[in-house]
Amino acid sequence: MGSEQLKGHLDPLVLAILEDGPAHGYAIIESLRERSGGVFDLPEGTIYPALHRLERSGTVTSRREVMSGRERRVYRLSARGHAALRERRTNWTQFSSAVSHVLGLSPA
Amino acid sequence: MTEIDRYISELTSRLKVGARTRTRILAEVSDHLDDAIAYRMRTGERLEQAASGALDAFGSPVALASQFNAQAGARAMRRAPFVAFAAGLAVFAGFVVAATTHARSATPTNATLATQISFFAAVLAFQIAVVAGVCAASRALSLWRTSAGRGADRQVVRQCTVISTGALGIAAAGWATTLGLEFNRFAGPHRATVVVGGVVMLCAAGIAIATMNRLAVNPFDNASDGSADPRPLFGLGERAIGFVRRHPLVSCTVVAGLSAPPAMSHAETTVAGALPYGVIQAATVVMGFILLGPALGLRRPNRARTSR
Repeated sequence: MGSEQLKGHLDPLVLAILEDGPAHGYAIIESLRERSGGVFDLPEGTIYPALHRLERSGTVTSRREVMSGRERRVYRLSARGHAALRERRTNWTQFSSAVSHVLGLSPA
Repeated sequence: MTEIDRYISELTSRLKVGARTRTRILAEVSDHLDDAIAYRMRTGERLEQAASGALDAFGSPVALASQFNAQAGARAMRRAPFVAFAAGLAVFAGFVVAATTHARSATPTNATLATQISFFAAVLAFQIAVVAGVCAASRALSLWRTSAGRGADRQVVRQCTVISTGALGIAAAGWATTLGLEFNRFAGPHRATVVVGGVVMLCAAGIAIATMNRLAVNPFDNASDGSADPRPLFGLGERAIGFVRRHPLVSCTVVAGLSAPPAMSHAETTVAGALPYGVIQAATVVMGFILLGPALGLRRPNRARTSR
């Protein structure tokens, strides 16, 4: 699945990965690929505009620090990010359940 | 030069963002590619093979730069109308300072034709600056919450702001010319105030034009992220513009009719003498609407011209 299909969904996916703990860009994209079973195979560079956007919105923070023996920019979820993730989960549950009902994929 | 160096070099040349953001992006990309190459080499790939694979997986520098440019462009787009607004206030303040001085110290003789032309041209240009500035601000406000959005939206804001600041420059130059032509009519102590007013106007307009030139609105870069819905109140200006687009004749007639009396009241004491000023003002509104309307998004472009 490419970046076009993921349009609008990448932000909550990144927030969900950062919920498990701070990570740098490479680790986030690896985790996204791994957790989606290889379905979300985006161009790896796509993650950086998303991270910058999330940082500007205040949902993640970042700073350069040493991780795995090297200095890199590490991102972590902010309090606002936790709240945003909770809201996106609720919205997604409602949305996906409604789509499933309409498509006849689950009992009404 | 390695393949990685070439990639970084192309990304650098395509990024239209601030120096600090550029440094940060390049550092992150380099770190990422180092990690990716190290991982691939651990799986048995040779250095060249690993570098090539890492770059393929990372994606094109053109697409990446475009996403960052779109984000920076959206921020610049939000700032642009407010730069124009601040400059407009400064130009107007400079003019008021100089004009107030003029009213107190001028001798009651008729103004020369050159003075009338420069003054009237400045007034008309200032009106264009205000209308274009309001159009730019309306669009920027309606897109306030978007992180990047469509390049076409930013293009409209940039176009309106460029017209606004350009017209502001003409207004400042026109008023400065008026003051220069009338300079001998000011009493000695007031001349300094007139010079200060003129300099403030010209500097404000110059700074606004220079700032607009530097703002990277990046209208040709589109972002692939979703855009947020505008807050209802922020879309008011955009709805007013929508009304003007739907009813161009009514809107243009009303504005032309409303703007004529103030122009007449400032020009002459008799209605017959002031009438030409009112007619020129109304005609200028109509001409401005016809000529600048499509660029400001107030009027749909001519169908025959666009279909060609």
